[in-house]
Amino acid sequence: MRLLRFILQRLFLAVVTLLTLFTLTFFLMRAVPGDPLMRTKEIPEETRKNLEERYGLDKPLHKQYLLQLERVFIHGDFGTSFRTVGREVNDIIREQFPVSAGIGIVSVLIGVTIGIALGIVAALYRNGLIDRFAMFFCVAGISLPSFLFAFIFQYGLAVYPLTVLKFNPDNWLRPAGWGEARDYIMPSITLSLGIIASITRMLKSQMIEVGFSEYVKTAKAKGVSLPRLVVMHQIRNAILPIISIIFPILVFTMSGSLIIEGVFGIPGLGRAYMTSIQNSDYNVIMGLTVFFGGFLIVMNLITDILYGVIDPRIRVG
Amino acid sequence: MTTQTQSPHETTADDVPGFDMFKPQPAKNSAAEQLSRPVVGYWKDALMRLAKNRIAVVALSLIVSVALIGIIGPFFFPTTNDGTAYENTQNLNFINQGPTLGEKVLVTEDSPIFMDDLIKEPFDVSAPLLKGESLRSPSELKVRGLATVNGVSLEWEPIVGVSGYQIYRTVVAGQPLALSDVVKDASVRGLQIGTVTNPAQYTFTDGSGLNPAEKYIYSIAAFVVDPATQEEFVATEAAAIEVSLTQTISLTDAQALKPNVQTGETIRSHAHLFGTDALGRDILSRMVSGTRIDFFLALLVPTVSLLIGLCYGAISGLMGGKVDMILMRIVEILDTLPELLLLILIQVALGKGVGSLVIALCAFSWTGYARVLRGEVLRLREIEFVHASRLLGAPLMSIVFRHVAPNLLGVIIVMWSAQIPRIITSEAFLSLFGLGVEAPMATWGTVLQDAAAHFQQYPAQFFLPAGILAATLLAFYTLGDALRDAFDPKLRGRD
Repeated sequence: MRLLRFILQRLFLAVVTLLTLFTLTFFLMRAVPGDPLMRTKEIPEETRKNLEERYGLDKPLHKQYLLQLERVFIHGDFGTSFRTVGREVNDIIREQFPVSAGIGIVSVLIGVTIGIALGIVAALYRNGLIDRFAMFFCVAGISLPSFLFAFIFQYGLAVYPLTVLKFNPDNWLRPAGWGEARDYIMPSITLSLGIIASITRMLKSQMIEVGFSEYVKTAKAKGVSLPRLVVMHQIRNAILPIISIIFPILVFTMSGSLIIEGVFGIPGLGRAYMTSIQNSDYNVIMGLTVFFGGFLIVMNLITDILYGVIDPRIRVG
Repeated sequence: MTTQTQSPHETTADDVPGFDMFKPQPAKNSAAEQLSRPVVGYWKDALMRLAKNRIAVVALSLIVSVALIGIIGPFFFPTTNDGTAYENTQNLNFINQGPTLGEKVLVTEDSPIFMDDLIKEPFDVSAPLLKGESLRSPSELKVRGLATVNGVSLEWEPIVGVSGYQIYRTVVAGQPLALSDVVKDASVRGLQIGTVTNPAQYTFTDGSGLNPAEKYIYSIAAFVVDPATQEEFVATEAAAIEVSLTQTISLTDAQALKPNVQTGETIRSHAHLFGTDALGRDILSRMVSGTRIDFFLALLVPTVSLLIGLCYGAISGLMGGKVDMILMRIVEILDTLPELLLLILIQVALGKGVGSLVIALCAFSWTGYARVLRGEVLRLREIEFVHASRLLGAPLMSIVFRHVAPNLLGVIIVMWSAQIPRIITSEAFLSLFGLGVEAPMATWGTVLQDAAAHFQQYPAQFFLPAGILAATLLAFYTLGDALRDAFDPKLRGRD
């Protein structure tokens, strides 16, 4: 009963958040100075009227808002582009979202695997060489923006080997491009750095904390062998909180990919977003914001509910 | 005893018989009662702990030096002819230069001398066209006069019996390209920059898009057009020449450096420690002047969000009840919104500029302060001196600023300093999206954005400023960590 109430509460909050996002987006886009239909050429009065009717711009603002609300949330239709005639925002999402999602998932897989390994090693060999390296890496990975790493990798792994060292472009990484398996490598590494950093740091401190706990001491006193102690008692308990941050990390990774996609020429949602901003294509900006934001909100909701199911203490707060 | 209002039960010294026989015992000034060490207050303690942290001191000195360079630096910028700020002064003679301490450059006229195309006379224009094996290109390509960024004039020996010449240009960028390759292989000749359709013409001037930092290979191939079929045949081999441009400086610019200089002399140009960008602007000076805006934002935005968050959190915490619940639900909703997307959206709606950057960055960053400070206020409001103040009828705001705020300072400083690197990152992020400040103005983000456009060709333009950005971010981050340790020793070593 308590759980159900918790879930309903979260669900309600998510819906309100979605509505807030939609409303903010709608009015911010309407507040943009200038004319959404403005192009390089002057359009005749007749055409303009037709266009306004077609995009519903002739109606009063509150009607536009309600219409749009109905269209987006009831019919799941994000409208069409103002710039490219006939280009549906839904099509953009359908074609480009899987690309972003693919990179996000690959990066999280790489990041979580390496992060867990590094965190465990750093905790077991505290103040050793690997630990020191890992801690420096963590500070850099957390404090530096991912686009810096993107440029470093693009130059160091692709541009430099290809132009200066004269590697064969057919069997080496491409600085930019999409469509082959090798094109996953650089963006995934870039995005996984931040994940590795945060997971390593968290796991290390968890491992150390668990190491001081009573049950580990007890196990030690009972003569449990070291490998068994580390694997069964320490790691198992330290890793639990990591599971709770994986979803937020996935969300964070997907937003981080906004610029990464631009750098590596990946036709994902981030690049569509960037293009629509550069073209002032307000309908597309709006549609993508609501979709992407909605996606993040739903992910958060799932995380919250999962927490609630796993850990009863959360439900109270 | 007429004014006595005391109750008869109260006893005074007079009532006690023999009271004056008691003598006070002198206080024992024992050594144990003395404080042997100086009293260290909260602030002094925190500062001492900060000063002991060596990495934090290094980080702090780095930040202070960057800030000082940003404040003082622009006063030492060279003056310009037309009064534009030095960091915005474009100079097409010095585009995309690598880092340099200044080079010897040739002073030339302000407006370059246009070189005419020359026609050889007498020349047999109506000679029969060369065919097949006998079709050949001119044997040699030469540079006429001085090759500068204003123009490269080529000269060759015209060939009797062709329809004209095709001229190609390619950049020698990073990859070593042999002249013999260009002679034999048409695919590496690069861009066809011109076609000369008069076989008697023996010169051609290329004046577009030249870059003094590059080396070029020009090549020329003769071609014939079959009058019957209009089919074009190009000679298989071309003549080629490698050209490095002579660095020049216009007379006006040169006179700004050295007043009585004449054309034809060489002088030493400005040093560009970070090189110049695609418009010939000095990157270091753009970084220095960008420091002002970046640090202004990095100090202002956390302060504004702090004030909003403090008021919001304090009201929420002190009012309690329904108000608290509603205010905190709002914060919760704002926290769930994707901050990055809304940052971009607000910036799109408000347009470029420092003012809109401040608004966009502040719009959602105060919620963190509000949440934490509300919690602190809830803790502090139960403390006795706040109760006392309330009891005496002090107004809400006076309680906030007199009693609650000073006790929040530790938490506030820690949160405030942690936000600074995030603001610098956000500024760079928005600029890379093309949503930063207005065009000529320089920030760290716009410098990176300008460099990112042709990053593959000129990586130094990106990596030198990016290095400064990264070092500053790392310094702020380490300092923030150290401040947290200093103000709250309980948290030390935790992540």
